[in-house]
Amino acid sequence: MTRTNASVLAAALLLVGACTTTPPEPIADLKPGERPALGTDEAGLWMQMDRVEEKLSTSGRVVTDPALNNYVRTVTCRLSAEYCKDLRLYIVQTPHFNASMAPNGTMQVWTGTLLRVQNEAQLAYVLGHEMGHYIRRHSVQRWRSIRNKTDSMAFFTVTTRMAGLGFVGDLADLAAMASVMAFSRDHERESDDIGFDLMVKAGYAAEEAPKIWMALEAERDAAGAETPSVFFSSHPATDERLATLQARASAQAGRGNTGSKPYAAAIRRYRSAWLRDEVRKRDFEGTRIVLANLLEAGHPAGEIHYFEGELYRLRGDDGDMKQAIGSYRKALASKGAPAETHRALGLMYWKSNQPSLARKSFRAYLAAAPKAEDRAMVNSYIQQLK
Amino acid sequence: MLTALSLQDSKCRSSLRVVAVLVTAFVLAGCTTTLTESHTGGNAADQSIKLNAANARVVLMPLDIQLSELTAAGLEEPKADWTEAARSHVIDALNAEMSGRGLTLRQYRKPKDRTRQRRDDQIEKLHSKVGGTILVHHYSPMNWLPTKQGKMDWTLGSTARQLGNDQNSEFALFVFLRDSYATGGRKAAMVASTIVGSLIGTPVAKAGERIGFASLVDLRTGDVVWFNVLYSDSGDMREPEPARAVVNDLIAGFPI
Amino acid sequence: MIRKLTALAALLLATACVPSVVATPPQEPIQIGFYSVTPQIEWNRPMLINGEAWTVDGYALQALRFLEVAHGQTLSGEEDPEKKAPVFRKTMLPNEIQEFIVETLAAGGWANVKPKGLKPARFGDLPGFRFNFAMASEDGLEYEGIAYGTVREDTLHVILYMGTRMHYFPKYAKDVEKIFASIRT
Repeated sequence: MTRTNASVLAAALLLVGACTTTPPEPIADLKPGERPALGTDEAGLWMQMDRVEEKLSTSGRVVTDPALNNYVRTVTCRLSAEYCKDLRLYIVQTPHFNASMAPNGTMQVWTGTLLRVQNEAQLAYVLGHEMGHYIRRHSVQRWRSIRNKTDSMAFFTVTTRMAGLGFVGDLADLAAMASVMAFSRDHERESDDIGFDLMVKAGYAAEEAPKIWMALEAERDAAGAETPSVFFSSHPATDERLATLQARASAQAGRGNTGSKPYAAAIRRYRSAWLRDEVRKRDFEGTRIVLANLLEAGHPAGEIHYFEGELYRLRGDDGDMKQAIGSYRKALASKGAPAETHRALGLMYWKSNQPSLARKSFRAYLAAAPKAEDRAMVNSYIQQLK
Repeated sequence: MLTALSLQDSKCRSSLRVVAVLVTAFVLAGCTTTLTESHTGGNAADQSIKLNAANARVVLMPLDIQLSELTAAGLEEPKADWTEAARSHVIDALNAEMSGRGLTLRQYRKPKDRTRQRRDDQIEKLHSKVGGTILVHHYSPMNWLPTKQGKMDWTLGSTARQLGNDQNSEFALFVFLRDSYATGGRKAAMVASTIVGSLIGTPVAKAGERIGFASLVDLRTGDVVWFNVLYSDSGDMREPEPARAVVNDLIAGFPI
Repeated sequence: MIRKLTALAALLLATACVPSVVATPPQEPIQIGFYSVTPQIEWNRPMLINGEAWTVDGYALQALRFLEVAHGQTLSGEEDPEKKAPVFRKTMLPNEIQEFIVETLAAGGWANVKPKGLKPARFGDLPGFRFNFAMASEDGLEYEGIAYGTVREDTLHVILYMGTRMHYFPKYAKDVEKIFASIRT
């Protein structure tokens, strides 16, 4: 569903208004390999999603790296070997927590999600939850209830909220698409249960499932009202849902695997690019929580402190330059600091009138990254600082 | 912040919207119409281009087509069965019309190799940008670009030659069609959503109307040598005969 | 019939928003703020009140923009009281300006914006910088671009040339290089 269609849809719904309430008809689970019959409304939805998928598959935002795709796919198939054949995974480079499932089996996992889940068990829960929407055919149920005007106002609210988040371009399309996939609380409860059952059955640690929720809520609370989460706009969070999940998890606790090591290894090569997108959001408090969680999960301190420095440098409030220098130095004293740390430190020293330290840092950068793209520019800095 | 950097010229877009509103207003007034306007262009702009039906090799690119139903509430519900029916009727009609003129269309074969798939995909995307640009800067005189001097002078560039080699063709025919049908009693809501649609700026086919364009690209040069815009509020592409009428209008003026 | 309708639309718009567009004479210098450039070829140049944006084949295919950004403004020259969009600061060094432009493009919906080859360059008589970039549009069409700029009196002056990787960017890339060389300050 494109942004335009979604907006027209929303506007049309507003014009028509919501009044009648017809309860949706009960619907059977989608069986593995099942496709809706031509001529049904469900086939129409599938076709439209096929078109969106065609666009999505060639979008510049899709991460095509085979290793990462294979990894997430393997976890999906571990949850259900039968259904995983019907699902097509798209990892989308967007620094927000979200995952979505279209009726035709197009599953989106945003890179912001992969940066936030701390281990394979948490990822499995998110994937299992989305699979639940597919199996229970929530999209077509949702579509029928919108068409029957049962909850068109609720739909409208989600769509406008999405627009209010300041998404533009294809990000808005993706968000709008996710909003069409926004389900009712009953649907979410069903998917919570399915996701939980699938992950436990696959041998993952049950107690990890509620943790991802709690981390997201902490991030949301830190970020404040100005930066509402995309995820919570399309996945209504309720205390009741979290409580149910926690109760189920504690009954099963201590039996499964967290899969922390394979997860850390799987994202190692991409983490830095995702963090770059993350700091660009300029959501200072929210990103600090993400960084703290990564540090806690055992990712290299040098890299995490470097991005902490970037966060201060980009905010640029009074005193942030000093904070940034502190973070960069901490990064260089730890393992895993990228070469760019030297360059960033050089820029900060130069601006705070410490030319000889700046020169030293720029030299260190060129030594650490002799083939740097911006070598000529950094050399000219060194000249100017003489 | 975005407008200044978006490559789309917002002013030009707004004028397209006005056209869309006017066209719709015209339709709502109750007239039955079919509007087409074909132009020729490319380097051959001065001398009108003409294909030799007996030996011209023309590949038909995958159709970009969608049929929808407008529900009473004004939702556009895409119909898979209608679209599949229309796709096959349109392809049949195109083949029949062209062979009536002595030309056999070649079917596009998707390359097996990923690099070539990607290249063709980029060509199709570029074509849709070029098509949109032709609509904005060529079909709307108020958006004419002075350096073009009124000529339809756009190209897909030299990469088109590789597509031509792979498909063993000298020309490619691109077709874009959108069509929608109303369920009963939707006219009032239609007015409202037309206004909304026009504000958002993407032409959306309204009840029982079809919009589309066809273009012919010379794959040896990449030049768009012929282009036709279709707007029609009659003809039902779900049935073979009316689909043929739509195709007839769409390729009116096809240079053969 | 479309002609009739578009003519009507033209009437409606003539009084409203469409700027008149002229073709640039190739060898006549054009003053843009504090500097001038020689266009080299005929560009379509809308007579805008704010800013300069030229094209030959249409803005969706290629565009040459001359931007002026004061301290505290976004790349399009606006204030951002929300502090969410990247803004230019007068103390920015070329690496940070590159970052500012890349971030603005990414925030504007361009996917996969990748800069490369940042290096010093003369902007007329002033020291400046340049870099290339690659990116993809919302629907995945690939584009390329060049940024060429300087900072003068706390204001960033930058020329951005971008177009589709296939055909429209390379078509005038050499002419654009000559335009950069023609900058007089």
